[in-house]
Amino acid sequence: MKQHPGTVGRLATLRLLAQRFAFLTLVLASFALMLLGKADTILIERLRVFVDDGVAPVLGVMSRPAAAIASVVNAIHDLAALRAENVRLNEDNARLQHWQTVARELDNENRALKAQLNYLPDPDSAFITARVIGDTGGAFVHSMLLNVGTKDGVRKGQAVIAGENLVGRIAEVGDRSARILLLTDINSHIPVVVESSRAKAILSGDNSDRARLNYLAPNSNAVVGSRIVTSGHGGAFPPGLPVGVIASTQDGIMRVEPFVHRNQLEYVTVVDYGLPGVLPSDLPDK
Amino acid sequence: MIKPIQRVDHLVRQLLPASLVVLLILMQAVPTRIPQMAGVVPLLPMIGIFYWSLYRPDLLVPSVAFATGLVNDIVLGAPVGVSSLVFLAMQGMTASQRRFFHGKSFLLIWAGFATLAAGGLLIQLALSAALFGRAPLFHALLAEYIITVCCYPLPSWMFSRLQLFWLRSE
Repeated sequence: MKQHPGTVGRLATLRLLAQRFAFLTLVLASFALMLLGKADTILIERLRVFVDDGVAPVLGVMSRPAAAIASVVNAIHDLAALRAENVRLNEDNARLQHWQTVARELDNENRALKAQLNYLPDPDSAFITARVIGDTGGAFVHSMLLNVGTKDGVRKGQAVIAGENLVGRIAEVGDRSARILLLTDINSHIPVVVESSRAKAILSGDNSDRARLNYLAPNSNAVVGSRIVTSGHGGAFPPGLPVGVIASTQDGIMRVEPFVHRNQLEYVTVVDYGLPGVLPSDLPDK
Repeated sequence: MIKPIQRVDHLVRQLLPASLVVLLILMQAVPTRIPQMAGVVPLLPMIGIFYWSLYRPDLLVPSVAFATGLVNDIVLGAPVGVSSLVFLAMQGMTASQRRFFHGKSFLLIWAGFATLAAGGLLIQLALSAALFGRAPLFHALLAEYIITVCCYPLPSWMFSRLQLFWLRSE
């Protein structure tokens, strides 16, 4: 194919210019994306959800061998401590039998009192079990990826628990994947109460492995060892979920050690409490 | 006359470095559940970006660095754009220093990676802290850096095998 010499020369010059500017353009595009992300636009979230949905099946397959290896390692550890564990479990069992009796009596008493007061019960929660398929474990971000999405009933803002204890909340949802924001992440703020004194506070993460307790009233008698549970304020979280214990009170900052640590998580439960939260971002997309 | 199968073959080879970096990104995200590793993960994609920018800069071009950085940010849950910039910087610095690394020993190239990875992490730290207020703990960051540098030989060796096997005729 014969080309006019002038056209060839022009094309070559254009290509050279394009290469020179490509790098700069991409750098500027990165900054633009960062600023867009800071402005919290729906566009960035749609992009994230799109990639998460694409990546979720692959990660789901990839994380199975790692889970199998981890369970073998854990099994070996467990075998080593078998006898001591057995003694401990027997003691726990005896104690829990006693508590079961107490709980039954309290339940009956509760029922009678509620009937007398015409008490309106909290809505029932629905539960969705999910497997953790992605965990960065990194120093910069405290979030995880789950293999359930909107088609399983997961919505933004729902609480995520492991066993009984709070892990975090759902930050983004796709068709078949969801991202949890752990309560130690810097963007996580959860309304909590000190269980014993019912003093209200906000638990905020700061990217370390202990979250901070903010806005606690100064006259509350919260000490090291006090249990912290969710308060249920703001709507989307069920009240009473165990969060952690106060671990230190240095410099006037109360630090809470969560009951659950990120490396222990394989299966978690997403709690559908039935109420949407009060924040606009928690409302389901139409 | 180029046959269609040859075209597909050519395309697969062109995409090999980018696909390997994406594979490293996914490997980084797989949960390991080892208590000692909690909070620390090797930054594997940096190894891929460094290696392929060094040996095949014609395949690992800035747009590939940008796109894989984007995927890295999304998979990690980090603010979008940060890894793109870090990978672009690494790609640019590595590709421009090719002549220096040419024919040098593996240890020297490893040291070069250590230096560039430190630079990349510093850029990531500066951006995360300044723009997003996400300042990680220093010892966690240091642990991640050391484990990333220590992880360099294995992927590097595997890539060199792949390069000899698959990209030899290029």
